[in-house]
Amino acid sequence: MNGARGWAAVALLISVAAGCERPLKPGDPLRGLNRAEQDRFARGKVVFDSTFTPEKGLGPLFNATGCGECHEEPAKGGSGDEVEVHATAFKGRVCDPLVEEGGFVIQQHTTPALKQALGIDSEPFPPSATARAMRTSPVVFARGLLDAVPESVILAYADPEDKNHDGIAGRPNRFTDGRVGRFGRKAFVPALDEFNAGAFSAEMGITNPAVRTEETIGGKPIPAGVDPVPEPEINQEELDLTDAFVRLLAPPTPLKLGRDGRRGRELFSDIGCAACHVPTLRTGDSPIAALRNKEFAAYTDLLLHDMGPDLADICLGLAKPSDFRTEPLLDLRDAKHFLHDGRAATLEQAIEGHGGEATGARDRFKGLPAADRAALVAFLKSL
Amino acid sequence: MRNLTRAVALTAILLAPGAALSAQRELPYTFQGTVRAVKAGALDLIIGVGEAVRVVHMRTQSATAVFGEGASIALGDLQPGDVVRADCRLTQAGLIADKIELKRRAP
Repeated sequence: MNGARGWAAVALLISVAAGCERPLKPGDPLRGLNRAEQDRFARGKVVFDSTFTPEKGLGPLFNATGCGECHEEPAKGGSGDEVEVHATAFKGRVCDPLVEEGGFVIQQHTTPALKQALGIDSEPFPPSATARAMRTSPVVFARGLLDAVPESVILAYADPEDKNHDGIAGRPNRFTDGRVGRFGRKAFVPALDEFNAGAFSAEMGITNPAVRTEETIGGKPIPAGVDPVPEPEINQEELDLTDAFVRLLAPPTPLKLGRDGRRGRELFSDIGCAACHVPTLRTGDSPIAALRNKEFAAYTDLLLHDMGPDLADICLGLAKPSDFRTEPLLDLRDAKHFLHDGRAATLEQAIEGHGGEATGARDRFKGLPAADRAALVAFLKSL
Repeated sequence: MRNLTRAVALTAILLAPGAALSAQRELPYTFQGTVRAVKAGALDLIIGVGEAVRVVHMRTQSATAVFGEGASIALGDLQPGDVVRADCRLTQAGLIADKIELKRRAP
């Protein structure tokens, strides 16, 4: 074999190998992790999948006994059938997250000690709330990639005054300190590590080095003796490992599209879904090579959009009651319910439930021939 | 993140018994958060880490400098929903704001 032929054979082998790359399943780590990152992913999964008890710091208020209780289907990091309760007060144009009444996450369970002390099974619903929201547990796949998208990319998609007159007016939410948000159904939280640390506290009542104080009971302090575990209830290493697991979860590889699916993908753009569900985003710099300068299927712009009065529930940050962040479309093939509160049993119902800025796209979907509607749904089910 | 961590840690201090507080020196703290309430001589800020949101109560004095939109402003010019940065010190009497800077107006 001469040199040129040899190189051609090597190139062919590489291209065949790339084409035959094993699809990433839900729960798989990103491709290209080094050994240390793979190790942290595996060890982080153990913490993520831990069950906490009151003796390990659980509660005294909580929604779940571990991350994996809610993010479990079809693999750890996936979705769950739990539905939690949030509440805020919308006062004029300002949103009150009801911190003095226990915060906007209304925990649905109490430890035996708290129940014995106060006789309650859940956190009292805040009397000042002007709205209640139900929230399903979303998949947390690709969250590390979403975290690595530069803020400038998100802001570049914003058009709050609809200057291009397309009926879409995406705008960023902002956290309490003014930073641009991107995580959560209202895009309130700016960074993945903060989302994870906050979730330990708000969802499980687990204090940690980033959140050293327990949630209050409707704004009142925890009764003496109810939570004897000293703060923080997990250490920095456990927090960092959990963050590593979530950060390094890959987006599942979309299924191969058939003819209908390809037609559906064209229609997704043609009828305007892609105006908000932006098909791909690109990450910026990252200390993790597998997250650095990667283009990935996100199907979100990470911005808030007015979704109309039928979906409206709570405000949060700058998000008004009818504003929601464009949901990343990930692992729809495994989803059993849709929209932020799980009210839609099918993708068709979810699309038809869109309003506000999505009214045009929804109506164009409804106006499609049945075969085209089915093709679009087939495309979504490939994700 | 460091400021947020310190902020939440401080909340722990503020919630702790007076005996623990009295042991503190006048430590400097900086918070950036959303104004929840502003009254004569007092400011409440909403801070947080992700979904875990907390309130920091601070007192102001006549010497507290308040800036916003390129000029000196009055504490009473701040409104709920405004984002401010507050440079404070923790004293035995609680948290005292020395400087408050308006970063973003409420919508």
